[in-house]
Formats: sequence, C-alpha cells, structure tokens
Amino acid sequence: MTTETSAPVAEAIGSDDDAALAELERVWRPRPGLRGWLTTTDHKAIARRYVVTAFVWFALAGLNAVVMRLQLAQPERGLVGPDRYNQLFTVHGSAMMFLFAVPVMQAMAIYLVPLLVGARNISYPRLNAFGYWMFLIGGVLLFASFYLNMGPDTGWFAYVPLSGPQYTPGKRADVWAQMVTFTEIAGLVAAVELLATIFKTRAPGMSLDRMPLYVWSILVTSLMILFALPAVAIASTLMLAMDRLVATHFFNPAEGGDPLLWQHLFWFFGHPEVYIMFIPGLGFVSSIVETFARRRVFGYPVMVASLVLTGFVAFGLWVHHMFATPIPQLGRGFFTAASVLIAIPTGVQIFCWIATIWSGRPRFATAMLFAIGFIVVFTIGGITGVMQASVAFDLQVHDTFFVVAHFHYVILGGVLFPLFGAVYLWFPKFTGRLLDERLGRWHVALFFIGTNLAFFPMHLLGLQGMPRRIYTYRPELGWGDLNLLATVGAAIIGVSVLLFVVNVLRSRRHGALAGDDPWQGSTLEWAATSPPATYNFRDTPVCRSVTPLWSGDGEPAEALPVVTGLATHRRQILVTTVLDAVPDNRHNHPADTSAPFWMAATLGVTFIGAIFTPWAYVIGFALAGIAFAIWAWPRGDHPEDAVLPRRGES
Amino acid sequence: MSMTSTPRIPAGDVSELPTSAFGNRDIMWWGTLGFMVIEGFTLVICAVVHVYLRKNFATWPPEGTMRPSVVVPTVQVSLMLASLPFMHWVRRRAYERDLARVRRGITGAALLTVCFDLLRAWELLRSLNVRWDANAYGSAQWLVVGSHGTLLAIQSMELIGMMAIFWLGPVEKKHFSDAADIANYWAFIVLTWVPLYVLCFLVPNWR
Repeated sequence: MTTETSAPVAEAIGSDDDAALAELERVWRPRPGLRGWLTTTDHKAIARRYVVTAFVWFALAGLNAVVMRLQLAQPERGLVGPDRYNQLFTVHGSAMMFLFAVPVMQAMAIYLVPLLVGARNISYPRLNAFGYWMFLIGGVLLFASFYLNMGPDTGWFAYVPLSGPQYTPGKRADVWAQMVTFTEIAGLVAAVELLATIFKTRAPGMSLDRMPLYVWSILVTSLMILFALPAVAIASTLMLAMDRLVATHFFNPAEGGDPLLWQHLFWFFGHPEVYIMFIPGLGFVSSIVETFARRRVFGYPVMVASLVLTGFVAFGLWVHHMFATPIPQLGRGFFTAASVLIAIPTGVQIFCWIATIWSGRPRFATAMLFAIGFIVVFTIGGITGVMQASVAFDLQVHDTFFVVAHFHYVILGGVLFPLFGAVYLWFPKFTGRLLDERLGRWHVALFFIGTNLAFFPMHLLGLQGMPRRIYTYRPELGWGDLNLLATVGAAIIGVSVLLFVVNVLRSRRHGALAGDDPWQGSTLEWAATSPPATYNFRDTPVCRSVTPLWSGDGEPAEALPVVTGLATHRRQILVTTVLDAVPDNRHNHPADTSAPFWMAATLGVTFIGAIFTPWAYVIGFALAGIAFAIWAWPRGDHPEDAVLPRRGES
Repeated sequence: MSMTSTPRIPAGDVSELPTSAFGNRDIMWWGTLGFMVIEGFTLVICAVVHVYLRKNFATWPPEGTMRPSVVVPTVQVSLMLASLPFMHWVRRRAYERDLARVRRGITGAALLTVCFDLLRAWELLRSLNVRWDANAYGSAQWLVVGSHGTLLAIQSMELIGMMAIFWLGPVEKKHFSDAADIANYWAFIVLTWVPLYVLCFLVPNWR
C-alpha cells in the first residue's frame, strides 16, 4: 500500500466513480442463461446453490426419518420391512452427515467468509465451483440408489465385516463408499479455499486478533478437515471399495486383515467430524449474540483459545466410540479423560455468551431465540456425552436409543439451531429481504418443542434397553408410549421445518426490504449491499477493530475507511499478509469457465464406474486429465500479463 | 432499520502493488501447501495402516510370500534424491523469471517424472513380488506404493501440461510462480517417498 492515512481524512468518496463502478459491474457479471449457471465462479452464486442443495438432501433425509418414526410409533407395525428399514436409517444418517451437516456449514462459509473478511471473491473460485459439482454428484448417487432400492444398508459408519464383500454382496456398500469419495473431495477443496481466503485475503488491518469469531470458527474447522477427512477417504475409497472390487484383504481376518482397523480409521474421521459440524455453529452463535445483544462478545481471546483447543482435543476422542471393543485399559482411561476434557472449552464459550447477553442490551429476535435454544439443547447433548465418556456407563447404553438421543441433541442443538439462527440473521444479505419474524417465532418454538419431544424419550427408551436400528419391537416390551411420543415430536419438527420453507419462499419475493444493514451489525458483510454486488465491495474496506462497523458497543461507526486501487477493468483481489493483513499484492482472478463442471463430470464417471470395474479409474483419470488441461490452459485474455506471446504471434 | 450505507473514506491506495508474487506471498502457494498437507497426511495414514496390519503376522512378509526386491526401488529413490538440486535450480530460475532456463528446466522435469512413473510401475509389478489380493501384507504394500504412485502420476500430468504451456501457450508471469510451486511439490513427493521406500522395500528385507 502506498499510503496509509490515519484520520481524519479529507473527504468521503463521492459518486464521481460511476464509470469505474459500471466497469466493475461489467467485469464481474456472469454470462447470461444456462451457460452462466454452468460457468459462474462467483462464491455467492455457488454458495446459494450449495446451501439449497444441502437443504434438499436434508429434506429427503428428513422424510426417511419420518417414515422410520411412523414405523416405530407402535409395536409390530408393518409400514416397512427390515430391508427397507436398513436402507432408511443408513441413507438418513449418511445424508445428514455427509450431504447436509458438514456441507451446509461449508456452503454458508463459502458465502459469508469472503464478505466477512472484506474480499471480492473466494481465493480459488474455479476450485469452489468444482467442489459444488462433486457434492451434487455424490448426493444424486446416494438418493438415486436409494429410490432404486439399491441404497446402502449397513449403517452410516458401514462397519466391516458387515459392509465387506462376504456379508453385503451386490453394490449397496459400494454406493456408500463412492458417495463418501465425492463428498470428501468436495469437503477438502472447500477447506483449502476457505483457509487461503482467511489467511491471505483479509481486509487491510484485519490482523488475526481482529478476525470475527465466526471466521475463527471456520479457520479451525477447515484445518480439522485437512486432517480428518483423509482417514475416511482412504478407508472407504482405497480399502473398503478395493476389498469389494479387487479382493484386497484389508479387513479380511482370514488373510491377516483387521476389521477393527476400519473402526479406528472411521472414527479418527468420525469424531472430529462432530466438531467439524458444530464449530461453525459456535461461530454463528457468536455472530448472533454479538449482533442482538449489542455488545462485543465477552472474552474474545478466551473464545478464540477455546475454539482452537476444541479443534485439537477433538482428535483425541475417537476411541470412545469403540469402548465395546477390546481396547487396552490405559487407552480407555486416556480417551475417557479426553472426552471429559473437551467439555471445558465448550463450557467456557457458553459462559461467555451468557455473559455477553447478560451485560448487553439483548433483543430477542428469532435468530437470538435460536441461539438461546442452542444453548439449552446443546448443553443437554453435551452432558449426556460426558456421561458416556464413562466406560461402565457407555457399555450399558452402547447401541441403544440413549446414544441416538445423545447425538441428536448434539447435532440438532449444535448444527440446526445455530444454522436456522444464522439464516434469520443473514437472509437479508442473501436476498435483500427479511424473513418474517412472526413465522420465525412459530418456527423456533415448534422446533424447540419438537426436538425435545422427539429425542428426550429416546434417552429413557435406551435406558430401558431398546436397541437402535431395529425395525420393530414386541408389544410386551412396553416401549410403545414413549415411541409414540417421539413420533409426535418428529411430526412437530416436520411442521416447524415446513414453516421455515414457507417463510423462505414467501420472504424471498415478498419479505420486507432489508437495506444494507438491517440489524446494525458489527462486521464487514453489512458494509456490502444486500444482496451484495458480484464484486462484493466497491472498494476494499479497512478494519481497525474486531467490530469494524461499530464505534463502540453497538454504536454504528460514522464512516468506513477503504483502500482504493484494485483494478476495475479485470477481476482482481487484494492479497494481504497472514498475521497483520498488510496489503501485499493484487491477484488477478481467472475468468468464468465450465471446466470445473467437466472435471467433476469426468471424476463422476470415474468413481461411479469404479463401483463396477477397476478400469473406470484408468479411463476416468485420462478424461479428467483432458478436463484439467482445459481448466489450466491460459487464454491470453489480458495481453499485459504475457511474458511471451503465443507461438506464431508477433 | 438502516437503509443507507456508511460513508466511505479513503485510507490508502494499492494500485502500485505487484500483480504477481512468489512463495507465501502468492495466494496459489497456499493452495499447493494445503494439498501437500492433505496428501502428506494421507500417506501417513497409509503407512499407519501398513504398520497396524503387520501385528497380525508372525513374519513380515508372511510365510510363503516373497520378499520385495530392492534394486530398482533403490535406483529410483537415489535418482529422486539426485533430482532435488536440479529442481531447486528450476525454482531459482523461476524466481528470476528466466524464461529460457525455466522452459528447459520444466521440460527436463517432465521427462524425469515420466521415468519415475515407469520405474514406479516396475516397482509395483516386478519389485513388490506380491499381488494386492494375496494377503493383507500384499494389500498394504500396494496401498502405500500405489498411493504415492498416484501422486507421482498426477505430478507428471501437471508437469507435462506446464511444459506444453511454456512451449506453446501465452506464458504469463503467474506461470513462473506455478513453476516454483511445482518445484516445491517435487521436493514433497521425493521426501515423502524416502520413509515409504524404507517401510515397503527395506523393512521386509531385514532379517
């Protein structure tokens, strides 16, 4: 940066830059029509379809849950048989974990993080588009298989030997393994592009200690993804699928393989996955509480330390899913201690939010009600989690409905309450309109009641010995009433989600106009228009505190300092230094292209073909090589970049 | 509800900043680093699987399975290590934006990496002396050597593509940063192979 003017600055930027603005509009505008839809690399366009797609998978997986609850509402009901039931719960769990909870959090981050750090786009826009297409193919594969009665049926963690070639012949387990491949690739590329966005494109002055807590939560989550997702990708794509396709023996004890190895690899991913799902939720809650309590979040350094500590300790818990296997005594002790320890940083954050609300000027809008609902529901889930850290207790409730109750409290509490709250908070930034608050209150109330009614009875059912994953039970066991109650709760959840859908669809067209900053928010996204222009910010905002749009607690700043000088005649983003966010260079962004779509399509052929033949890898990777060449080949659109012209040109 | 945006005041100008950079100043460098972390950890997990499965056997390799031969793998790892100074040289020339030398360097690297691919294919088919479906030992050997081989093959595709750009395409400043990054990636591929070579080819030969 050539000049860094402190204050006061002579004059505000007026409207004399209309020509530059028109040029910016033209340069960042996507192509029209279907071609534009296929080629766009705007993080907001891709994030919107990512979020919508994830919610579609959520709705379909939710329908599976409704069918399961109807089946279990009374003893010996005959709505579905055991084979269909196995597919129902496997697809429900797999979709909720691999196609909803993690991807929707990443999708929200793809929309929000560039705006919160004041950038014009995400760091790697083509990779971002590629990730979405991979995610879409994975979801279509899973649900199409399910509706064709070849859906996976071995549970969302696909334990061997059940999912191995001997006990699950046919292609159902292969569908599961390759669905994991698609979603893990999508998750990994999203993590890399979010990390680079956070590290290198923060607004000038947004040093790490001025980064919004939501951005911190995505930083920690993305780092966790780099280390967690490879374990399941190897276990499913390279080991389980290969055991089934080319007769390797990784999990076959007769030839020296080891079924327990699957559990280690799966849970080395699977446990951090829980935190990967809800740490962004913690970030949402911080943003909601700060905005609606009109006060900076209490204890910022402690909040950051808690997020980072949670990220580390999350990798030391996986064996608590395996207490019913022959684990050495010392191992059990270690993993019990770690499982109890992780409650501390989360507890610290809950106390900080309560302190923020307590000492602020809270306004109980729908988003804030969801944040409070989160605190209640998630805390209950956390407490039953600590209970299960005890090996003796865990062995009693292992594979019972108690576990189902526990993780639904954690996931609905840690993911859905914050996510719905975040949608109410940021809907204006997505669409320019506000969601209806009256419908929102019905939504939060019914969702809270439904959650507790559906899942609290499951604790009791589990303690009474009802195993999970049974398609029916005998009347004399006495589980009917509590199951009926749970089914009523599930129906109430369904109604509340329907209200949400109605609210979104109606408000999208007819909601009250929001303006740029309807909540007088503290962070940079509220300095952009609603919805933001394709280039996000006309000039890059400068950040001088952790709440750059406030002058004090909740008081709007009088002016927003900006840096000028990014090109308007081409797509360009500002690159800043990692620690202090000092402007360092200007990165020229690539043009829109359909290459990411074709790249994903060729890999789609590869991995879906690999369900049937190993030669799919050879053919598919060759095709992917062509797609990659189209992706990377320079077009020479900007002669000023050329070191040497194309051959034959002077 | 506020309908108006906060007035903007100029606080600096970035129009003089460069439009390309090297190393951790360049945003693309961070992507390469991210994928090296993912792939590096993937290889670590493959090695852990290898070690984990070993406990199921009284001898390693299991009785009735031939030991791997070490001649070609040792030639391969030696050549790889010997290529490091060359790739360091390519990286330095890329930093200097020396087009003629980078062009030759990338071409040499592309040829070298194709040799490495062929040697890797030989290692899988001739040196391991075990099929993937023989027993868990064979599966583990193929997992480690094959996973690293996949990264090697992807690197070859990138280098061949880059060679094509440097000879045929409109070479842009950013391509020098890409060349420097791929030289770093080369070092990653070589240095991760050394312990895996020991694990897969030397350890089963220790008596």
